[in-house]
Amino acid sequence: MKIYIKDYYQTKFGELWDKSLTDLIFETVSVLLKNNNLSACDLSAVFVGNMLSGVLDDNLLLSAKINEILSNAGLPVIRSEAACASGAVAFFNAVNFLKSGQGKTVLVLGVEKMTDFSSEEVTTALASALSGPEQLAGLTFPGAYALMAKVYLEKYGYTQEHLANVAVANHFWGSLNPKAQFRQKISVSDVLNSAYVADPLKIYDCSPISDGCAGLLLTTEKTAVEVSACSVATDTLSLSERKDLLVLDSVARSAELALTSAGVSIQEIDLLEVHDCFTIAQLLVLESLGVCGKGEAGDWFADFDQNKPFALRPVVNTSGGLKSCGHPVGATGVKQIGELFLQLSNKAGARQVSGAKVGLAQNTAGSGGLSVVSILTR
Amino acid sequence: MKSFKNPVKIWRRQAKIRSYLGKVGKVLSFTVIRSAGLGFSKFSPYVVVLVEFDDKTKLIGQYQGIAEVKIGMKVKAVVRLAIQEDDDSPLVYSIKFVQL
Repeated sequence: MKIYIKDYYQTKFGELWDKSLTDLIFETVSVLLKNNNLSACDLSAVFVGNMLSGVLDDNLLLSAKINEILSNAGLPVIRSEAACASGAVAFFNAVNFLKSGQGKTVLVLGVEKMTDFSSEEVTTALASALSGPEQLAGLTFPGAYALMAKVYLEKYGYTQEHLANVAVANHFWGSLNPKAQFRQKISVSDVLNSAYVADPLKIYDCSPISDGCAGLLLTTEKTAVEVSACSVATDTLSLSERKDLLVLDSVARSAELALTSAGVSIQEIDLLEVHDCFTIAQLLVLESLGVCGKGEAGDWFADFDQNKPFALRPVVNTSGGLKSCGHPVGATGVKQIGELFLQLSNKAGARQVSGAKVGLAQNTAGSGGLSVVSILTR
Repeated sequence: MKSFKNPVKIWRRQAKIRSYLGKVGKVLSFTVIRSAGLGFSKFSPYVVVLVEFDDKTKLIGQYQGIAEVKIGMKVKAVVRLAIQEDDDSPLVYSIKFVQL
């Protein structure tokens, strides 16, 4: 059975102090239903990705809360948690629900409310997706990726400028996205002059703490954008159990599964939305996907030119990525797929990539413990 | 931070660390944590290292040596205080590393 995307909506991402988790969900659900002349009864199920509402806010059983927003329609509402890949795992569940013939139209939501809490509290909450020994060592997520970055720079002779190029490019795209948290362009020197968070990563190498919600309507009725594949793969939780610190096995495995399932090669992909929680993550993902060879992503990305932003193919992170668009962790995976939908249906405005036919979204959990790769085709 | 307050959970986690004592290895990577989580902020900045022991097993822990840490540097596993949530909380120990 073929699955299609009918519509997409994203709230503004950012520090939304006037909006609660429920407000963000309400806005997304209301707009999607209204714009498509649907009521809750027209949906077969809802799938929602969220990581932190239980850890940070004593706020669980989102299923029943969402049912209240849906006028107590009594639908199955299924929550997924896979750290920063919670949203894409919800999408995976939705696709498979429809493929199994259990319904015709489903809603996929990704949502997170993070800015009500101090950075220490959020750092600790996110670190619950690190292994026990890593937590006991006081490791943080910037720290985990910094351990990878240190080896990457040393092994291939790259500098912090090669990392900074990623942040500069993603801020360029974010400046064109009205829903992005940060809309200002930045320079390499802005990145290099920012303070260290976890050496060699600086503030501008890191995605921000964000609030936001993203939602997709999936259907079995034909639309312009087909979901050609969605695959999940895992790796070890602990960095110390990895054979190679610079290979994200979960990314490589999920990409191989999805590309095989969709019957396309990585060279045929026009658009990528990849998980740039930190600048080093984007480079390692590009290599693990096979867009670049091992150790080549730093050089490849140095060719990005803001005056010819569409020249470097595949075009990467036109949403602004996690870095500039923001990273409400449960929402990110849904937003990445939503960005591909906007691009493939010619609704991406100033950042529209003309002629794009195939897009790939990659969403990472933790330091690479899980990855979801989804492929959309026009 | 519930995980660092329950004595039973701490005992369970710490029961295994004896086997690491005195083990020798080299630093594969390191970072300096400058923005830490709850309970660890009062120690920041601190150095976290990924160490490969001579038997090829690996462990992540804090580095407590005096010398500047470098990739490839030889280190030894020791037991040190990791964290104490507050005056009423148990002391939590962990494996840390010093220069060999």
